Amino acid sequence: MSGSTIKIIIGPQHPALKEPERFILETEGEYVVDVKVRIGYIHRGIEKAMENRTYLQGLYLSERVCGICSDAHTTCYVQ
Amino acid sequence: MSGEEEILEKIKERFGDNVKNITIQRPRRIFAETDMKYLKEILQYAKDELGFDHISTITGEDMGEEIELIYHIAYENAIELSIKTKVPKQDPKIATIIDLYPPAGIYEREVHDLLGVVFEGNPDLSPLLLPDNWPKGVYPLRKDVSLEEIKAIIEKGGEEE
Repeated sequence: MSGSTIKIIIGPQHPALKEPERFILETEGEYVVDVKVRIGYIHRGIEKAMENRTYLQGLYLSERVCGICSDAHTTCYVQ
Repeated sequence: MSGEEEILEKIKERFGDNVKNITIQRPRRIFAETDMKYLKEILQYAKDELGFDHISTITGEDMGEEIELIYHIAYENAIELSIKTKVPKQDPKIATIIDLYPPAGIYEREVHDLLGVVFEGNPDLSPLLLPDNWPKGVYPLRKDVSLEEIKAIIEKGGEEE
């Protein structure tokens, strides 16, 4: 380790990212030696929102966990 | 390769009464309960002897007087072992497991963010999901924090500098 690491910050907004998240990469030449991650920019707190709902209201919320998983979360919720 | 019954028997034999309510809830899912002081020993055994070398996640729940943590670890043929343990809510401290499972660090950060459990020995418990200016000591997934309280914090835009 020469100690000459360079920090590269990617995100929260970046064309390569599907969703906002921030990576602070520590690089040594071409190699990434460390990374600090920060997520939660679109954390919606669904668990907390669910606490104040009735069982039936929760059903609709569980369908909205993810836009492309049509039945996975709802199936888990009702089982 | 060993099936879930075999794993269950091995854990029972090794830890006896220190592991409670160990059951196979459905195929490939084993649930067990233990005291927090035996947790690391069991994880170490599961990793070294049984081959559970992947940590799926750590989940937490506010049970009133205690916070229940569930460590989900997985095995090569998709058998998942979920070990439940409880930490007191007044003094929620438990030893970190990043020396056994390095990726657990990020799950520990999440549980620390949302439930305020302190993982002793984890060097980085900085916020993961919550904003930087979230007030200290407000753990949103605890049952005594109301939705109204969270709304007020968000509307205010976090803690004042």
